[in-house]
Amino acid sequence: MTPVYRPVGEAAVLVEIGETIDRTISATVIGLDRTIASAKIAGVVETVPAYASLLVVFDPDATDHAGVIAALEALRPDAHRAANTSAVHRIDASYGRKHGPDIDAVADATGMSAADVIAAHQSVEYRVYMGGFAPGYAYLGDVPDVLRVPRKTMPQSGHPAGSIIIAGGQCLITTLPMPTGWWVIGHTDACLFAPESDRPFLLQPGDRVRFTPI
Amino acid sequence: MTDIARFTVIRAGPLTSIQAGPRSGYRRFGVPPSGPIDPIAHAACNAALGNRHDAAVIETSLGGLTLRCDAGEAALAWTGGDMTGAVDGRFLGAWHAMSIHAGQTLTLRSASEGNWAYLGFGGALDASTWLGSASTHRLSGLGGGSLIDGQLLTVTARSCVAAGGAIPAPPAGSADCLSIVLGPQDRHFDPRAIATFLAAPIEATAQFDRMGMVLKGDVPASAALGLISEPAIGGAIQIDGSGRAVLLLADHQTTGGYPKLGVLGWRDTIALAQARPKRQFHLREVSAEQAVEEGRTARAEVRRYLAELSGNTGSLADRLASGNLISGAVSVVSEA
Repeated sequence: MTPVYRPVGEAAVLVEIGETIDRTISATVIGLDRTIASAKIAGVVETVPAYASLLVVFDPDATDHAGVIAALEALRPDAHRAANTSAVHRIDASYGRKHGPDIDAVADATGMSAADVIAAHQSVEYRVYMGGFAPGYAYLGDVPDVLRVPRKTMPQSGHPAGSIIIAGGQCLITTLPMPTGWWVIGHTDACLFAPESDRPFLLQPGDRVRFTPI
Repeated sequence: MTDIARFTVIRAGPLTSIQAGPRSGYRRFGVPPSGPIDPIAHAACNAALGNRHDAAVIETSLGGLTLRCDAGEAALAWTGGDMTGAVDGRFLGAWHAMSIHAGQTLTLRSASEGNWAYLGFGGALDASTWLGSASTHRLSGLGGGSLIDGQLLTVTARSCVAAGGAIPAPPAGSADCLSIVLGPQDRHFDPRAIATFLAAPIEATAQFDRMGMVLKGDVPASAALGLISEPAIGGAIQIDGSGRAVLLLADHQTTGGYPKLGVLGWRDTIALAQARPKRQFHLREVSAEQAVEEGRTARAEVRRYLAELSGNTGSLADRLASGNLISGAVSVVSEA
């Protein structure tokens, strides 16, 4: 995959690796992210990995787009090394009833029983593709095909932090109470976001997650 | 020698919060830089008081702010837009520094220009920090926090109170023209629609907060609503699913699936964020290289202005902090 470099205003370059949610593309993104972190490119202040792209933010008083792109082209990222140094998290989950008010609707939409929905959700290892939206939110991909339902037409509010929500091939664990158009199937007491801690964020891009029943 | 001065927030308008320098390095965890919407006015407020340019100050918007000094004495200054101040009913105008003592009440009111203003204190405003900055991330409330009526504030004031008087305004950019670098998702729009958008005026609206401002213009329809989430930054103009154009500001979400048509220049983003509804601007397409040149020129002008305000007494720490100006303008949007 040959990366495409696009300027993002005055102070950033977007490195596009692909256009789909895909483990291989994501491994390339995370590998590049970690390689940049250890390369310490002059003027680069921050990188932001996403599903299929990486934003490289720089100080435009110290460097420019051409300088950053030349430094990126000279790197030799190692996606395999990145994949092998990612953490695996086991997250306890409660499903259905008050913890997952949408589980019956998801069961109806997928033609399965609620028990099958829970079993399907726990059957795979999820990849943390990216963080975003709000502090501590981690976008998990690789929801099993049988569980993929489009998001609701209207967002609904009233779901607490720790809600396990799904839409399409994506799964999220919320860290703030906020309206969502995704389907709320469960809840976890796992602490994904501890603002006052030295390590406030549990999940890092590239990590893997398994849900286990309580 | 320092003294403690205490204040009570008698009334805080909506969108009043503590803002310092932006926090950097946490976008990957969904945490935007935050920091002042107008980093020039914010730094000017601190420079006029002899503070580090990224010290914590109060940011307020159209609703204004009333504070009573309950104990001690402190220098204070307000900047941004043409927010005017009055002490115990005595009118003092906009962009002003003075000292206040126990028993006096300061009221800041918005006038006809600007959406964001700053009130700082000579010395240190007591504010909690999060991830290295006292800047408030409004969605979570983390950092120094939003101000509410009845809240108490403590200032560790310098006993030497700065001279009062008017604060000179910063050098303005090209008043009604905004530079834009197209991309990174401009390819998802019809080139003719982009040309129409660039040729028509763009207008500020009253729909804004610390995350962004809805813009009016000849907004092109996006051909791509199924994009996977990508990182975004402050100053970007995003076209959402309902065809609205939104200028992303300091607190915006760090990733999002709506295409970003282009990104405004550093000083241009501040000018548009400060513009009142119906104020119109023209867009001027520039290359990324031109944008860097223009940004460097603008920041050099602003640094000279801030150095003059500080009376060239700024420490090395001040000068390093003023180098941080840009970070306030770069940040990223998503929907869950």
